[in-house]
This record gives sequence, structure tokens and C-alpha cells, in this order.
Amino acid sequence: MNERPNYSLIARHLTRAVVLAGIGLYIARLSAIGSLSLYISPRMTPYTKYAAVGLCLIAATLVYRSLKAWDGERSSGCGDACGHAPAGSWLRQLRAGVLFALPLALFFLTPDTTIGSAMAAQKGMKLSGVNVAPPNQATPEPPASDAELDRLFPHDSLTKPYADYGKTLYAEPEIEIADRRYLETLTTLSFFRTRSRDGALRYRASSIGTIRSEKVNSCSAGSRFSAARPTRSRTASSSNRRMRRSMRTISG
Amino acid sequence: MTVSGMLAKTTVDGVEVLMLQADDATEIEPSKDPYVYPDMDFGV
Repeated sequence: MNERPNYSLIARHLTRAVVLAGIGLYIARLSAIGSLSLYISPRMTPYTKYAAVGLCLIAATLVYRSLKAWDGERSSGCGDACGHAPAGSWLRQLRAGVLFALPLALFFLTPDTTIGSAMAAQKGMKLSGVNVAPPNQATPEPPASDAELDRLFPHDSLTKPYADYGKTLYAEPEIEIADRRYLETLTTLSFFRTRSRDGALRYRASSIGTIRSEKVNSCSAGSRFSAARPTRSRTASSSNRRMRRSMRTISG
Repeated sequence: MTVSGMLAKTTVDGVEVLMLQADDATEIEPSKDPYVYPDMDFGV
């Protein structure tokens, strides 16, 4: 004897299948176009892809169950114990559905891109350098001893790594801001420039003058140089040789 | 792009900040990974 299909159950299965498959396919799309790293750490990429496969499998299972519910298997014969009645009220189910469907809609409706100047401006960040005061220029004398370096790089137990790294940068003929230690380099530069009245990284004018910014993090405020990493062959010696030149820098 | 220039200091809305005075900018290939990650050991 055929029973009437449980349309509520079928709709619930199909809705869940659409949401799960949508998320899984969106991850697959991001992976295919190379934009997955905009959202997650590269270390998590494989796990995210596995999760996408799992979501698609679950979605396929839900579709299969909805088809079974539509085509005959309407009663398992074990009564309420084997039933799959939705838990909670319809309002609760709606909330749960929106909770997943809304971010999914945002995924597909918003562009996959890093933060740009226009978006940053809406958030009150100035990335273009407009309306800034002109910088001061000076060429202070380089310090001569370790004692002088210690004076220029004051630190406590928490900031000692940055002070040590600042001393290392100070000895460099030029500062290269590369992917590696990118955050630490900028933090050190900013930290000692603002902490010290004399400025800790600006006295060695002829040595610290040149900066190479290979990449600007989308989360950092310096995105005016919205840059990307060059290929390996262009990151090292050839670029360094091209960049090396004597320059004067800054003062307070 | 790769940008080279001078480190400078300027004031934005009364706050002293670092500024990179760009002297040269070269277009390069975009990175597949747009993010950078902290290295708390400073490469040691």
C-alpha cells in the first residue's frame, strides 16, 4: 500500500543537501581558481578540500534519502522509534536553515578579493597616503658601539627579540621586507621608531635607506603598495643588486 | 609589485607613522598566497 509522500521530510532533506552541496562546491570553485588561500591558511587547504568532498557526499546521501522518501519508502514499519521527524519547531528549523544559507549566499554574491583601498576607506583606513604631512629628512650619525646600540634599542624582557632583530636590521646595508619575517620587520621598524625619540632605525642613513617591499599583507595598513610576491627567481640576488644604492633617509 | 624607496616618518591625523617613500615600483607576478604569517622565532 502506497502512502502519501512526506513532503516535509523531502523538503528538509533537499534543503540541507542544497546548502551542504553549495558550500562544498564553493570550496571546490575557490580551489579551482586558486582563491582558496584568500580565506584560509595554506596549511589548512588539504583539510578544507577533504571537508568539501565530505559535504558533497553528505549532500548526495540526503538527495538519495529524499528520493527514497518520494518513491515508496514511507514507512519502515518500526513506528515512531525509527521516525525522522524534524526536531524542534518550524521556526527553529528556519533559523538553522538561514544560519547556513545566509553565509552561502554571501559566498556567491560577494567577490573573492583581498581588501582594497576603496573598501579600506569605508572602514576609516587611509592607505593612499593622502593628506599626510611631509616627512622630515635627516642623516644622523651611525652609532659606534654595542653600548650605543643598546641605547638606541631599549627593550625589556618582552621586547628583547625585537630589539635584537632591530640591531640586525641596523647592520644591514638595506632592509628587505620579504614574506619571511614580514610582520616582524615592520613591527620592529614601527616599534623603535615610535618608542625612541631619536628613532632607532633611522640614524644609519646611508645604510638603511633602501627598502624593498615585496608584498603587503591585505590586513596591513600599507596596502597602497598592494604588492604580491615575485617568483623565486626575482626575489633574491638580481633584485637586490638592482635595489642597492645609497640613499638618505629620515629623521624625527 | 616590488617597491623600493626610503623609510620615512610622517604624521597622519596627529599620529606619527612610518611611511615608505617609493622611488621605484616594478610590476611582478601576483602571488598565489596573498598573506604573510608571523615568525615568532625571527627565523632562528
